[in-house]
Amino acid sequence: MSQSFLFSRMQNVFSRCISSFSSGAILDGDGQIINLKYETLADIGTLGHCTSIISKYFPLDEGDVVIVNDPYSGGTVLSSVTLITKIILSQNSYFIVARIGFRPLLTISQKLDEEGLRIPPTPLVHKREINSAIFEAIASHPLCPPGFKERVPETVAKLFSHCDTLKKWSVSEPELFNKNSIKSYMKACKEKVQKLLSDLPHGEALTSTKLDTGEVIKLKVELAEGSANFDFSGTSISKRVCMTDQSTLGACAGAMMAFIKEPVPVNSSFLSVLNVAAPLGCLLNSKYPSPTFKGMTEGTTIVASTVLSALSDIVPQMKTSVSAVAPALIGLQFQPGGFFFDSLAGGTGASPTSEGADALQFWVRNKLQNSVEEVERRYPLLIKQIAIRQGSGGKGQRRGGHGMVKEYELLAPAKMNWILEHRKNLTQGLKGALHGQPSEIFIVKKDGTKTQIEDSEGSLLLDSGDKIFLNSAGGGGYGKPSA
Amino acid sequence: MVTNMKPVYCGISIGPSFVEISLIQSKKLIHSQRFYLPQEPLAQALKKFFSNLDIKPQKIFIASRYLEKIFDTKLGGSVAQVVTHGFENWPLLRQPTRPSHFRSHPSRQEALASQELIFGLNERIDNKGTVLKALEDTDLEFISSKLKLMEVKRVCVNLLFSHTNPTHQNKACDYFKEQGFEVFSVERSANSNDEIPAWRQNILNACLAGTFADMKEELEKGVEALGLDKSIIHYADGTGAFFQDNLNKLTSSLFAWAESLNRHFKKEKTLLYLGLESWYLLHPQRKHPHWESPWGMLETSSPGVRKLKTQPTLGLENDFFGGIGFSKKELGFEPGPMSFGRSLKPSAFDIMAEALNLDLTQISAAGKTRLKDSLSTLARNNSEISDMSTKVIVSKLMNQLVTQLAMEVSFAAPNEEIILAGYFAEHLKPLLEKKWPHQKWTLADSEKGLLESQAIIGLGEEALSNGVLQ
Repeated sequence: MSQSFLFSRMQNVFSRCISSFSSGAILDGDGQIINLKYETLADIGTLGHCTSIISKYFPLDEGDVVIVNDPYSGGTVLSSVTLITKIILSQNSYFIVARIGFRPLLTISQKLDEEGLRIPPTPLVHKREINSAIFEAIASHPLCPPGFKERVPETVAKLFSHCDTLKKWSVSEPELFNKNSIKSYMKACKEKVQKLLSDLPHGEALTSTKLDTGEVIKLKVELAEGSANFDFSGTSISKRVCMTDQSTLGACAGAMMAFIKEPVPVNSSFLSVLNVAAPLGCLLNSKYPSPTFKGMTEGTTIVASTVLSALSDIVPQMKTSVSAVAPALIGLQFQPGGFFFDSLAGGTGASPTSEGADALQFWVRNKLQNSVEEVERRYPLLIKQIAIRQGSGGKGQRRGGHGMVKEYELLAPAKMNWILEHRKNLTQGLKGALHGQPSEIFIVKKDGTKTQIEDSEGSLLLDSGDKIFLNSAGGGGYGKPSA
Repeated sequence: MVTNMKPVYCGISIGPSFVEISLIQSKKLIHSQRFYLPQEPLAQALKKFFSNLDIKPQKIFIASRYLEKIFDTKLGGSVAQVVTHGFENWPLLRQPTRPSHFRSHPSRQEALASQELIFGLNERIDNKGTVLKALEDTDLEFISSKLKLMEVKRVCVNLLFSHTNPTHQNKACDYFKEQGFEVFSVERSANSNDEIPAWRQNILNACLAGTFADMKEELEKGVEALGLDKSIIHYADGTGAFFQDNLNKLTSSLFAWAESLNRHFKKEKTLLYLGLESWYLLHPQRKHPHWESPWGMLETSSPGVRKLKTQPTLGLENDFFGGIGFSKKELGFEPGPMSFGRSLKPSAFDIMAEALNLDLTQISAAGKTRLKDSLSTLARNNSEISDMSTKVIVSKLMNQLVTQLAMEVSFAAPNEEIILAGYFAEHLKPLLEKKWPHQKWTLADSEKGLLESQAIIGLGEEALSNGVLQ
């Protein structure tokens, strides 16, 4: 019996059944993630968690689907909706999870419920029929994301189609789904991941990152025989940046994946070798009703980069300068005219061997980039310029990646919300290199008056004709720049 | 050659490595043959094909994927791009992050045009077509002089909202043409709402132009050597229309083979195309306005084509568990398969060549030995596999490949009858039926399996009977 060929086929079927979702997972009846597909760091930690919660509190049958977006029930941001269904394969229960990302609202809120429509775990489909009363109630809510009405039924249909196909595969190749195969597969994954970790130099590193909000992330990381331990004791209590413990796990896992050169299957075997301790109430383990948008987006990227930086202290040849991982975020609320959201990537840090990349999403793999023509059709906005922000990457023997600049002209009054990280705490260079330029927003009023916004987050009312210049930060350089 | 009473049509389907030629008269196949391009280039293949035929085609219809050759090299020559001022970096910034999994040094997906060759034109049109900033002649003159200094030959004009109001686009194109440049103008569909995929198509057309010119020259040389007029050659695009010189059709022409196959099957059935070089699933009912090209999403009306992840060009490597598996990366068309004695890296093609005992003349004994050695090397680190004979390993890998293919099709096209076409169709049909009996697998009704070249003739005949082609 050749297990490696069996495992290869298992990997294939378990990736195929979630491949048409932008992020998703397949779990066994015990809540073990067998395979997971992610777009964001938060996806990695939360997709399994929301399924565990739902399987615990909802008596799901085949043909049922539960919907959830509540970050405290395994969701991430309120604009990401998760659908979970159950299936029996070779007499064993499995869960299939699909997550749909919509365009977010950007609000500067004190409470989660002000950030959008919160959907606690809710039974949406029974015996393959959508509960129209529940569906309509969600879809007609003023804060329901545009596209919900179309994309949710489409995804539900896809989930059931994949379930049907999986059922047939469980008849054709039952060994792919029986308990022993899953057990052997997960065991083999764990052994391989442990070996990969064991092959890394062992050691400890301490680091801390100060956020622009003043909050501090403290981390002690330890690479041990077959495991990696992340202790965040001493991290500030949550004020503005609020993450869930599961999204913190996702950030640590994402950093670990980036650190290990070989691509690893993202499943419970991999996650089980990562031990994350984040004290309850700290920004990495906050509780309802703390708002999570900033934590789930910018917070997770900063945690992952903090972890990557600490790991590189143990293996110095992996060290790179600081990247502007948190994008510059802006939201414009037109009335009428809807909500416009934009996210500008920063530059990545330089390494001993290469310059940083300009304006690149480091920890996100979605395709939510706004088309100029689409934006101008949908919103009373004129985009005047989108460019690499020359000179913003830290100077050095190797230059940090530049940020980007985007210039908007308002064609109607709007309320602008913004979140800027890397504004006060700059992306440091290494070995004598310079830091990257901070993120910035300038407002040029119709009369020509130019004002720089100092705060790293806030809201402002703007008039028609006003211009906004949004600049994302540059990455740190590497090595002393030549004179 | 004799003069024929009934018209004879020649269909040529050109892939990056293989070309197949068919000759049809009154819907009846006269002759059909496949050639391996590295050994027999186009003109030579044509000469050989017609050498024993005393017959003269009235029309030659071409479906070409030959241009995919540039996918390997990613070379497009010196192509410049002129965009609306302020958006010179926009095409680059829209290139997505790679790889898809997190890495400590992510980078950007490669762009088609070099950033150094993008120039801004000081003009602006809004979403209603209103001119906000009029295009000045001096701007055109300035850019033109720069392009000449840089010895640029081809210029793509990509201006915002040019489909809402084409005044500036037309003016710029006319000016650059007058200056002697080969000009490519962005073409937008009515429901196009994203500029970058459309701009990418325009640049790809320009990048393909050089390779197209080479292929065209070679083909015309071959046709003229047969005593035929080159004006009988017609190239198909992805909508089923034909062209001879329109370079704006080049990206679309990559899908001509798919449209001709869809029409051959009357757009009723899902087609699994298992060619020698590439494998695709064709859903005739699902037109895609975009195509995921090697350089990012690109606007072109591809006729429901889905390139499969399972490909004959997938390399073999040690997998995560130390076993042998198929890589996620394709090896490309150059230098050619190991079993032909060309590549040093084994691929899925080589496994099929061995397992299915393919009767291709190019397969060499040296290539077979090389495959055996490669498999032994890959098996060395795994105690389970290292004891297996080459035959057993090949058989297991063949099973992996068929499973992978069946899984992909079963999730992408569940409950559909699948028509199998292409070189591997006949070979893989029994294996797919055994592996996945839940779907109906039907072999395409082609003679000698050279379906693509026959289907393109069908498309040409349709165009002639509709009067869209003279």
